Amino acid sequence: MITVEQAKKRITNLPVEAVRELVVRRLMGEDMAPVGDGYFDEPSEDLVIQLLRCEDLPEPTGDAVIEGCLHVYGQLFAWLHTTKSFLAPPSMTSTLERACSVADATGHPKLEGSAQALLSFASKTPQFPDGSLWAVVRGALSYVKPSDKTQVSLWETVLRTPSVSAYGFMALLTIDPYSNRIDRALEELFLHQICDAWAVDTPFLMRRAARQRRSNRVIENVLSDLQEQTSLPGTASNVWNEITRELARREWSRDWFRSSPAVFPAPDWSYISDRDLGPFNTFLPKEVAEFQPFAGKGYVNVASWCSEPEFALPFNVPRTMPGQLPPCDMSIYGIHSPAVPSTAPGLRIADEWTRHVGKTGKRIQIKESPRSRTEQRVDFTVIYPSEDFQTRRIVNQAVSRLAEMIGSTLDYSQGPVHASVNDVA
Amino acid sequence: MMSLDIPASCKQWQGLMDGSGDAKHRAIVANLRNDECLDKTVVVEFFRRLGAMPERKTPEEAYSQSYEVIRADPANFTCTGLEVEPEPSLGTLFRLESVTSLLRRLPEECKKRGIKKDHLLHRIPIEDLAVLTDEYAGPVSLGNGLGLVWVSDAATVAPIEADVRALADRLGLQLDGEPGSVILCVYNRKEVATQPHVPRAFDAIDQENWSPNNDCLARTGRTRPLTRPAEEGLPEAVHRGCVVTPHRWESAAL
Repeated sequence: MITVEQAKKRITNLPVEAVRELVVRRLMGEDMAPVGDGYFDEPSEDLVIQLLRCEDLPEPTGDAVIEGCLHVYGQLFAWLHTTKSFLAPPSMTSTLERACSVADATGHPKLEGSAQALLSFASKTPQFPDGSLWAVVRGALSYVKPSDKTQVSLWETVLRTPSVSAYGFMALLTIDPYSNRIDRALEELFLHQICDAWAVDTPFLMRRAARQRRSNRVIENVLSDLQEQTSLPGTASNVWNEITRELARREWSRDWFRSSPAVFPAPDWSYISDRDLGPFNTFLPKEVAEFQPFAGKGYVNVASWCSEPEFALPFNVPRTMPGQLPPCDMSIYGIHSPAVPSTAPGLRIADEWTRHVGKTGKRIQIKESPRSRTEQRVDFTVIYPSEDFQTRRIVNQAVSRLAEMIGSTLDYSQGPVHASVNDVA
Repeated sequence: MMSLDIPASCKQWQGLMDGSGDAKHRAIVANLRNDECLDKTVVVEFFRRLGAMPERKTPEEAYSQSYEVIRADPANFTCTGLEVEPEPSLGTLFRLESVTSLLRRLPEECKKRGIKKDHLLHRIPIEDLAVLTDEYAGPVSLGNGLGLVWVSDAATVAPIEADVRALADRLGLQLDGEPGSVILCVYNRKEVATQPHVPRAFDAIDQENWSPNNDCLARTGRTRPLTRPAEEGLPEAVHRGCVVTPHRWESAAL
């Protein structure tokens, strides 16, 4: 994205008419914005966005930018009211998306009427294409005002449109985050997500709502209601299981169950292993799979897993089975653990490893060193492909986070030690 | 230095670009002029198409036209440099991405969560951003307006990536307009359907902070740092846009 200063520089010495024309050309796609630096490419409309953000633009120039935008909106309305196919010509749909992107990013008050009118038109036009509807909704969302109840029904229509439902929810959240409407909308969306495969991330939206209200009560309310609804006679018995499965996918949504054990008894998550944990589950201790608090005082129960059968071998195997392992390195980490809580949840720790290490897709084994446990320290060994600096870095990062998470300190007095397995063996 | 053979029909274009008050416009002509390894026939074709366009009035228009010639036919004008040397060099590719690009890289993921450009520009909460970056492990669509992806070598970048600002400087990237975070993207070269190439001036038709590597047999390009010495430039290549599954797709605070 160019800066405001760069945008200003771009129009230096241009007469007002030329600025207006430049804005129109940018939005119409006639000037393809030959700007970028290879890594950060810049869409056509970014220049217009930055000019609208510029607070010290001379008034005639600022007016010219707005006039250019409004001219394009005028062209769009003329096209929308006469076209027989919203898919053709494609250049107009691209123009629509660029113009809406400007409203989305700037929320400029002089574009409000046009952005709202576009959404009103789109909401009454069932054949409006999804891609363009997305842009229109984003543009209009910039003008939603807190407490403006006049817009509720329009945004409830958006909430019930599968491809943009999350935006409808965001608008309703802006209008009144404390309304019961929010709880109902979340329940509705979660059921659509599970039962109708709507592409919406309801747990994410629940978290946003909780943040907005500064309380997790909305999460408890929604989940309680959903649990009750999905347990009614005649409802599919697995809907609640599917909801908990969805919540089990990520650590932060799993935390909701942990933080409210009185409201939600720990669900039976043993069934999630196959689908969600993949090869990881084979190595999960039973108590982790069923989400029981870890009971080993002073120790960290780090689950070990691997994605390749040969890595399931014990650490000392390379000595006796040369050639079974590809070249690999090992690191030994000591976790100094006087402060390890006796309830350190094994699943959470293991999941942290999965997130940081397993995501790399590398073949890694993490194994607690059986002979190194003491009351203060537990060592574990990580084996990963040689010369793989990325993995090494990620492993280091994950170990630090792991230690931080369980309130321990890393003891580097004996590690991390990088060496080839064969050297050590 | 190769003398750039600009036909009479493009002299006015050249005059506007060379005389522009915008350093970027001047840099584009300079890059074309300084790139001694451009294929002559491609250069001739570029100016033929540019000359056939309507007369331009401003440097901005002239600049836009040269970009448009390449954008209209990237297969002919881009990725014409030598293929970069075989692996392990540039075996793992690195990009620094803007968070605002998420809307284009992961449109469906943004839709599922009601995320707008506005949110991305205004420092989206880190836990929300993490859902689209660190927690996301799926495919990502890469490619700029010309359908090109500029990359560096992940192995070379790794030791210096902790300091994102210094890294961006060495990559020749301006971070001034960026919100509070950027994205580190690392993926395997094997995932790219086409070979990476040494960048040439037509690939960089939209770039100011770039210089051609005039060793025409070199099998790797080199970035031009913003403020640091040229020797601190990093390996650089360009490949055609594609969908990859990065093994690192992480946000990093600026």
